[in-house]
Amino acid sequence: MTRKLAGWWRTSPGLCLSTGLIVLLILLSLFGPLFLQPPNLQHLSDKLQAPSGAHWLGTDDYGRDVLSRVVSAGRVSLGLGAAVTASAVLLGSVIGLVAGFYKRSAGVLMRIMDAFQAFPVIILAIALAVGLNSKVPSGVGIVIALTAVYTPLVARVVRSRTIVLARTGYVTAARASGVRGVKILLGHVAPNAFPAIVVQATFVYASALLSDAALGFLGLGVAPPTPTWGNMVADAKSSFEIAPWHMISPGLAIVISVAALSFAGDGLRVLVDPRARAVAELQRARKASPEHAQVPFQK
Amino acid sequence: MFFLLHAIPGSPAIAILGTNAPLESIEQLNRQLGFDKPVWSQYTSWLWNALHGDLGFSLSQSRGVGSAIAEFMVPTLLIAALAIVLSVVLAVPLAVHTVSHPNSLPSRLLLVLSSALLAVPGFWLALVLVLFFAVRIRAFPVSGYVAPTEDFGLFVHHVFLALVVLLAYQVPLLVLTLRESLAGELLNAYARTARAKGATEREVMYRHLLRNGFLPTLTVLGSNFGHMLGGVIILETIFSIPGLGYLLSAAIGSRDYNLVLGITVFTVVITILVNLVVDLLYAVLDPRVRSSR
Repeated sequence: MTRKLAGWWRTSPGLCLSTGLIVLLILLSLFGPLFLQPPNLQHLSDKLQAPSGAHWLGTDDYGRDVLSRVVSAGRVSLGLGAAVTASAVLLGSVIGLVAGFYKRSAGVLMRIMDAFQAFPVIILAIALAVGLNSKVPSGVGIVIALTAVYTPLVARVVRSRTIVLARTGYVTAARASGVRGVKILLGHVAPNAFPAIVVQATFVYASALLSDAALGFLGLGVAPPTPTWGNMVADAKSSFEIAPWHMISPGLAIVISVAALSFAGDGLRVLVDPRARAVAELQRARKASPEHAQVPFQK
Repeated sequence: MFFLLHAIPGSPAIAILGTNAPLESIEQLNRQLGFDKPVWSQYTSWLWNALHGDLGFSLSQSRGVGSAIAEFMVPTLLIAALAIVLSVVLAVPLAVHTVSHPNSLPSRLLLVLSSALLAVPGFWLALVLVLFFAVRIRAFPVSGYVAPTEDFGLFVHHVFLALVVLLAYQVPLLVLTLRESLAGELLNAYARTARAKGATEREVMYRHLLRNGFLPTLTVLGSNFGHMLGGVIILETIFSIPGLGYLLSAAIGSRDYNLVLGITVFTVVITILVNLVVDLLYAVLDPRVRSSR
């Protein structure tokens, strides 16, 4: 087990570091609130304090502890992001697999996806969030809005992967031996598309965190006093000239988690995508020979 | 989109007259504005008018939606266009450097920095920049806007921080895509041929690789235009720039369906147009696309 981990560490240290960081962030936001004071506990006499021993990241304009709010906001923001990712990836994968495998369905399905993609992400999310916020609890509204935004991205990638996979020898062989279409799709195509789906999922998670934060900042996310990283920055906006730590810490939390996710995604993509691997190897080959003499060529 | 907006509770008549207005006058205004008709008939008449270029009447602005958008779109589109041009100008040499000197310290720093910058939410970066450059050292105004036709220097001074925020996302994105496609082109035989005939590294990069490697970047540029427009719209609320974002947040606040709808439709049309131009440019730049018709 340890030898296996050491091997991974040697081949892709970046991937190991970022995965470790993600696990750490999730554990922190899951169990952190148990050890900190409640995020909505107000001490109005201690408002807008600078970071100190009692309040590591200072206090906000209601005298609430910023550290405990950032950690609990992590629960909400990372949780919402995970929900968006899960639903967008599930829906997008099904649509992508079907559209890639059954050519006749592709016309209708992909045109619907095109229609969603024609909207700029933030504007679609704003419009959906405005429309949905009154109908459903605000967290659910965000998940639905962002799922609508990210499903087409996943569907597109999965579809192009499926088209490639559907032409492979083993699919032809399965078809020739009389396996039913649905069974080929689930048994042969879907498992091979899985790595591409995982890579896409990390990128969707990262950008869902960013969009969720932007919506929260605009006041369209989870309603206060429940903290999210986005609405904390919005709260801090009114007093950020005198209390910058209150604005900076939730922002840093977003940056760290999004960066960890996209580094992990990049690392995974190099493992999965042959073109990305070729590019990475090219750079490594050049490292071995500083003169450009021994660059490996494909053709 | 139309139906979604009608799902927002609270009628526009209440927003105009205030929540304490007598019931009869609310009903009368609703009737006057056509909001008492069923949603379907409202939709068909809106669609019919929109196809004729009439986006309806904006209640909060007390004028046509079209004219309100026409007035507020200038700063938004201007900033977006500036950001695109500047990002290409900055990203191309940076990307070429990372490919031609992959192991130099600046390239490696640049790649790490690019990935890190892509993780920074724009609205937060904007606030941090305002804190340091506008509040602490007062190098730039905190907010506001001056039209470039009035005073170009002041215009640049006012939109500078907003541009930096947009470029902080756009440039890394372009550098990373361009680097990947250039490095991919390097695998092809013609790059070796060019080197073999004695072309300098610089010539290989700019004359041979960039011509082929820029195409995927063009697609990214087109498909990212909508994202950028969304970014400008958020930044406008921070820097109080009187653009579409300012108009949109005002419209959402006053439940001005026609205006929200008009702005959404407008941004979608712009995004589609930009992508159409990108597709046409593709045909100009790549003969293979032209011949495959």
